[in-house]
Amino acid sequence: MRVTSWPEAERAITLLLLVGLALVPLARPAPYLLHVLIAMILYAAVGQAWNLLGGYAGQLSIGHIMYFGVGAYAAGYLWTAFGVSPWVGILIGGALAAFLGLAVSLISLRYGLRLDYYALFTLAVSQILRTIALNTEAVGEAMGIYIPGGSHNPLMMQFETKTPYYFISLGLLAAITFVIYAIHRTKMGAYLAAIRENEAAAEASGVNTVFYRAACTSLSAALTAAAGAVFAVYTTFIDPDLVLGIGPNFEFLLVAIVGGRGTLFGPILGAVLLRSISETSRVALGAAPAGFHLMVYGAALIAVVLFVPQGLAGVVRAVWANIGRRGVRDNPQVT
Amino acid sequence: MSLLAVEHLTKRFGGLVALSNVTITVNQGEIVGLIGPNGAGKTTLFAAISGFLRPDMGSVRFKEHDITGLHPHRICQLGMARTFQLVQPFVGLSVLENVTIGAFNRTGSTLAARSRASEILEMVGLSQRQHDTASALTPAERKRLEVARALATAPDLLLLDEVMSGLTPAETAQVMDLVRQIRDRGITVMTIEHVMQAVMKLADRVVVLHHGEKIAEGTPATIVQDPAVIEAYLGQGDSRA
Repeated sequence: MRVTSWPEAERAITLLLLVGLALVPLARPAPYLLHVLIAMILYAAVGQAWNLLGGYAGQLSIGHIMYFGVGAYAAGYLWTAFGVSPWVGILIGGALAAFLGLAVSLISLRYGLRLDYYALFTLAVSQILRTIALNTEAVGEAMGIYIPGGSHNPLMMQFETKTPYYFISLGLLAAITFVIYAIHRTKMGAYLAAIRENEAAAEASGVNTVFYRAACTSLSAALTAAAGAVFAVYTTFIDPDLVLGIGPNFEFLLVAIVGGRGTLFGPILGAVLLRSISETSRVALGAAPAGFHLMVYGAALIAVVLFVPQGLAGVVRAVWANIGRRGVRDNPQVT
Repeated sequence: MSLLAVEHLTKRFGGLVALSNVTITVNQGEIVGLIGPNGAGKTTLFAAISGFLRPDMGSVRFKEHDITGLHPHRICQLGMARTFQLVQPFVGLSVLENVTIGAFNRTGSTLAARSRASEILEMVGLSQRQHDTASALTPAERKRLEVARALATAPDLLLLDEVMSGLTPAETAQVMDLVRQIRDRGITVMTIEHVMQAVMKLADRVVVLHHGEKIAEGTPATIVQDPAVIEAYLGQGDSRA
């Protein structure tokens, strides 16, 4: 057998996953299943966007839902208040989130907020935004924004079936994944890794750590906001808890962490696994006392974190390395 | 022609004066040794020159730029690289990736950076280790990796902070050889060293710091006979030597 390098294997697995997801609609899944899958893909997209900043650049942006919320509110508000197409809303939401990301990274750098302090700062900002949304009449306060849907108007991202939303979400996930893949191979990718590994050494090696951290944060924020905008239009309803709350915030992070941060397909795997556990426990235990399925979900999470701390992608890599070694042993001439 | 001009540099940490009115000039093509007892302020001086510490007073000029208070990355881009006494590899990355990051200082192309990194690894003798992660290296190899990463940034001035400490005599000889090779490539070297025989053989000129002050400067031969230097190292109420 041909023994490939891990980056090649990583790329192949990622492509396989994305192509596999693209083929799912051919099986004509029931609307409910398609709905679950769209949610799963949007989770993967947010996890992947976070992965750029939290995985590749090592910045613990644990309040990352703030960017998702900005995208969701921008698209929802612009449309309901001014009739702006969500396609434009994605761009405006992305730009706003990029600006917010820039502010968050510059403020944290200005006041020396690193590591856990940076993490808490991002969480605090996300909850400040949630409180602002809760108290702003223009965005419906606690009622949120109801986005009328169900008509057919591609220019306004309106479709009568779920399948187009499935492909929009998948396209977004593929685009975010490609952005990470492309960056990883460039100078910026090397510099982000340097910042993650050792900031002082990065500075000493000529890396403008302030610039690259800010650029990475803005980009990750904009990509996250795009997912937020698609989410808003697809679900037709957003409120502060849904798109800025602590609960969904950590579900997003878990997708990337359980899947394996700093790897190309980790967040995709993570979303597949976590959404599957969450949905099956909900369906299977829905009749049990309220909240029981969440306890099962929580237990499954603890098990994953305990037994595969490096994430699912780490397991895949270990298995792959094992197969590679066996391949070399069976065919000693191949290296 | 002077490449680096440090003038009246002073750095205090609270009540402790780490550097007091230090003036040093480094000329193009020299190897300058910086010595002094523990706590003399050698590493602090490097940090203040390379932008990691902002001096309280005084100035640093490098190639006609006033670099006092600039960010370290800016100083590196201007052509000054440093190593760390406690080596700071990018532990999770491969040896080649470590050095490639340095090489990106002069190019935007991944291919060019990687090939430059390979050349440098060849020069420091780490080629066989290029695909291992930095965490797998021995302490001696880590020191060489530190030098390689700094060299990859294509500096005109290289600040080496104790790259020979903790090495066996054979390894020390190799590193001395490497430092000479670096100088032969036209790179000026300033090196902090505790291994005295090494500095004396290697340096064209030696600067001695003691309690944050420059107490002597000259050729290795004159330095070893300087009464102030002998006193700093051997006696008179200073047991830290």
